[in-house]
Amino acid sequence: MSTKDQFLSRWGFLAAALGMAIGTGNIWRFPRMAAQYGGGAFILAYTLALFLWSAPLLMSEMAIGRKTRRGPIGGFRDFLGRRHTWMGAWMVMVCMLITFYYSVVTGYCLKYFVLAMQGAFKEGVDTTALWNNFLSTPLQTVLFHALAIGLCGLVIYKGIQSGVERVAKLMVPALFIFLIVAAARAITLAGAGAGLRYLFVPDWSKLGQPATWLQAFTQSAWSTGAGWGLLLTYAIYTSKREDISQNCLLVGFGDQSAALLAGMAIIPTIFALSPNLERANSAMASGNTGLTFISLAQLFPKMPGGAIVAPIFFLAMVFAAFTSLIAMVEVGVRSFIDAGWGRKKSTVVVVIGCLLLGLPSAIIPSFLENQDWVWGVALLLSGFFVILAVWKFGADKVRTELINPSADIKMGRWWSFIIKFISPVVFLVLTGWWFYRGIVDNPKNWWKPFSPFTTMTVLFQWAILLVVLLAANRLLARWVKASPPEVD
Amino acid sequence: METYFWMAIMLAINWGGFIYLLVRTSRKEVAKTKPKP
Repeated sequence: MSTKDQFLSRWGFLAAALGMAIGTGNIWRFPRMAAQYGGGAFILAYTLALFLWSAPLLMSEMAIGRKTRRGPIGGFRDFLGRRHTWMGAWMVMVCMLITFYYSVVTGYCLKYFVLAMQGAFKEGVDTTALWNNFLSTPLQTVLFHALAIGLCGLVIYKGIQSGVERVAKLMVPALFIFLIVAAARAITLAGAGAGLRYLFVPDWSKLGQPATWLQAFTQSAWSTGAGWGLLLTYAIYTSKREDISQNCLLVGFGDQSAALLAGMAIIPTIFALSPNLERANSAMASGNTGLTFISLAQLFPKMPGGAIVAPIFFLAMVFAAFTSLIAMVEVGVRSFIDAGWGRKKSTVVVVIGCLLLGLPSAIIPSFLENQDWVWGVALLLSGFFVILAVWKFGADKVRTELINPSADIKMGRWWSFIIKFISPVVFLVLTGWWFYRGIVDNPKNWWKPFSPFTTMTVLFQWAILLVVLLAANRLLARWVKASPPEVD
Repeated sequence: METYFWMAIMLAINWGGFIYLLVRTSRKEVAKTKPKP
């Protein structure tokens, strides 16, 4: 591996890793979840999730990537043995299946940034109609999807230092500044106090409800990127002296800090500018895209300075989505590089693949929703595979041989205890609860594999992927080249 | 008052942790670049 295929500095790696973690979920999902599941009580559960699931997983992923110098497919082969290559391939495939529609979502953000720049959000504009018109115009959704994946391809084509690192160093600090500006404007609005109360004052009774814990842990897992294979891939491009524990904690806390800022920007805006409490609650319950592209777009014209805040807010969305999309596409590109392909050729193939395979999501919104339903939860299984890898290698060995030697903050035996005993229980409870709710909440239709939001469609699509990957295990193990490149 | 109390607690945990780790990392990186006697 050439030195140009390494991060130039620790700050460059941290910017890329923070960009990877901070995505649209921080901005449009966290505020809704926090508001719905007890405000401060949810934030505390979410912080606990960082220590019991996300941070140990991120550290394990980084340890695997740094040791094997491979993407997830080769990483699992070399770390766990050839028989387990399919687990790494599962991780890559789940990540890519999400990438196909995430590029479309990044396109939505780009479109709304353009609209905000054009001053399209004026008093009296029907933002529901605006959103529905956009969604039902495939030429538009495909165009912005192509723009998003094309720009992402350009960054990755340029390599780690000149592309990924340079863009992350620019976009991630800018993203924080934009969120701070949007939050400062929101909390100084008259009536913002009601929103802040909704976000921060704990409703302790919610901690007694399993749904709060389920949402806090899944939000943390999705938001930090734990189990996606993203940090595993970025770790390939770090020095072998790179501090795993401190970097992963920094990414975790940075991700949560961005989510809190987004909450402070969105919830007070909704509460201060909605005509009544009922409308505010209905906006909070309107789903990710409904909240952002309909409710907020409707409120910006009512906000003093809204004409400036709207483009800033949607540019923050673009940066958050784009830096995550880069990390996701890099997982695919790295898999081809591991097979001996050049970066440029790999990038072209993966970008064209993402462009074509993202078309169904760009053209049919319900297809996108189905894919989000199926593969979002598959990330928990990817995370469990990382736990299995650490188990097989030896949790204490990972801690003492891979994490601690270069660590400023040493991990104690508690780390091994968490990854060996707590994290697997978290996985079993979360997935068990998710499937249980899927059946109980939809008793008549849960078994239908071709309905978009059923438990069976999840199991059906997972099963297809698992069967294909298990059958291709030997091929996959041979596909990745034998010897990893040496790094300093 | 209650709102700002809880806001301070939540921000202290999350932003506090983030800023503490940023400062710690920054110090380490600065120390690395200083020439050794």
